[in-house]
Amino acid sequence: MLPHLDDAWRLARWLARVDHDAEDVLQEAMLRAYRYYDVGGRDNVRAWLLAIVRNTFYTLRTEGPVASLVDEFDEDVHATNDANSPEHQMLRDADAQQVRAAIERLPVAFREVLVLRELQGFSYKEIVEITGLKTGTVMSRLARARERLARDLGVGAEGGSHHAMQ
Amino acid sequence: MQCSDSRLLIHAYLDNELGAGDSVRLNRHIADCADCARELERQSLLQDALRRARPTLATSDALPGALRARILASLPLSESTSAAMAPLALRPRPSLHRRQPLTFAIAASALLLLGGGFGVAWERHASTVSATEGNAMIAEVVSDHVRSLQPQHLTDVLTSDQHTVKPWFDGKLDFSPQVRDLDAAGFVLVGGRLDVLHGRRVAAIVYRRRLHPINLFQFVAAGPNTTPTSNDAGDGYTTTSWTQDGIAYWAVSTLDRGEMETFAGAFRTSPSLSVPR
Repeated sequence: MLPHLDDAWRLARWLARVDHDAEDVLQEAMLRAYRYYDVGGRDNVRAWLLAIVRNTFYTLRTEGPVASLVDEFDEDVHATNDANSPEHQMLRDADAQQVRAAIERLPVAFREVLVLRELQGFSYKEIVEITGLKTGTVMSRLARARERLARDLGVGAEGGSHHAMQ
Repeated sequence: MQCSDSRLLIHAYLDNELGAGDSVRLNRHIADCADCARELERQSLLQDALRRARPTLATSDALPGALRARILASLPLSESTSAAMAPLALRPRPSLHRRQPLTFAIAASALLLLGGGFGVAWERHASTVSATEGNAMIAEVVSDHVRSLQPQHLTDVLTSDQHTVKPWFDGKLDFSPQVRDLDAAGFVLVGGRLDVLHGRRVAAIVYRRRLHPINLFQFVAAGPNTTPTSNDAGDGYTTTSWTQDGIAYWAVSTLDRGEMETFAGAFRTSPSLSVPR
């Protein structure tokens, strides 16, 4: 599992957002992984390890459970816009720092599926395996994550910041 | 198809996760629905933005070397010791940030004492391992390996950075041990230590593959280059030895022959790190 240490770190960092917390998550997750490594055959060690990272994150963090976060964010995001709108232009111009900031503003339930898919390249099936969510839930969270991201990047960093306050 | 379905399937479509039937239905809907067509375009612009950002984000999210070393240090060293280490996993906030430097300091000072003693008794054996020595050597390599897996014994210098491991040996040996980066081959550098093998002071470079630590002992050998030879040393241990450019290498671990030879092959073909002595 050590070849996947970098992936584990990235996920821990995207989830925790603070390096110090991410280090604790990674440390704890690797210890857990080593304890259970011998148990049972698994064909996707990378997905298995990231599942442990994710679970460790939710165990260690002191905030409430994920479920409470999700339902609050079901709002209209399908504002109509035309193809040459300033919003589309901002999307075309978005740089890595803006993308990072926008991803970090996503609620964690959306952030995790987006990061697993977009930054770590997992298939839907693997994301189901890692998160234990249903395929339909993965798809809808991914859709909402991207809708929020597109909107957030589309209105620029200043306009986007207040989404985090919702 | 409803717009609400289309807004969900657009993502599966962009991710190449949509079945043929749904793709056809989605395309048909998008041909008729300007709003959904715009949403598809907006989402593909977002996908482009993410793709552009990905290399930068991946670089800035790289695992710091010091953290990697700390994690490796905290892990149980073998299956048999993992049970003993298990309670560590229950500690809510591992105090490793403080514990490791202390451990390191103790190990380093113990080593200074040891190093002084051995320095006096040290007598250079520049011979190669003879055939009759072979079996005794295998046994000793294995027992050294087992001894090294006792807690805190595996490494004196603990780092995944070859540029730190190699200079650490300066002045401690009469040759410059080879430390090579084998990450690409799936062997992670853990660290190094001084050891004594068959009366020789040797360098032990430690790598790890999955759960298996590998000790790679190195000492001066006057002889021609040899290709790796593997031996099943019993109890699941495998040793692989070879000579290259005046250094004898003995690798030992619980990996099987195939993986040990992969290790030997990767090591022999990797460029050596050149650090002025």
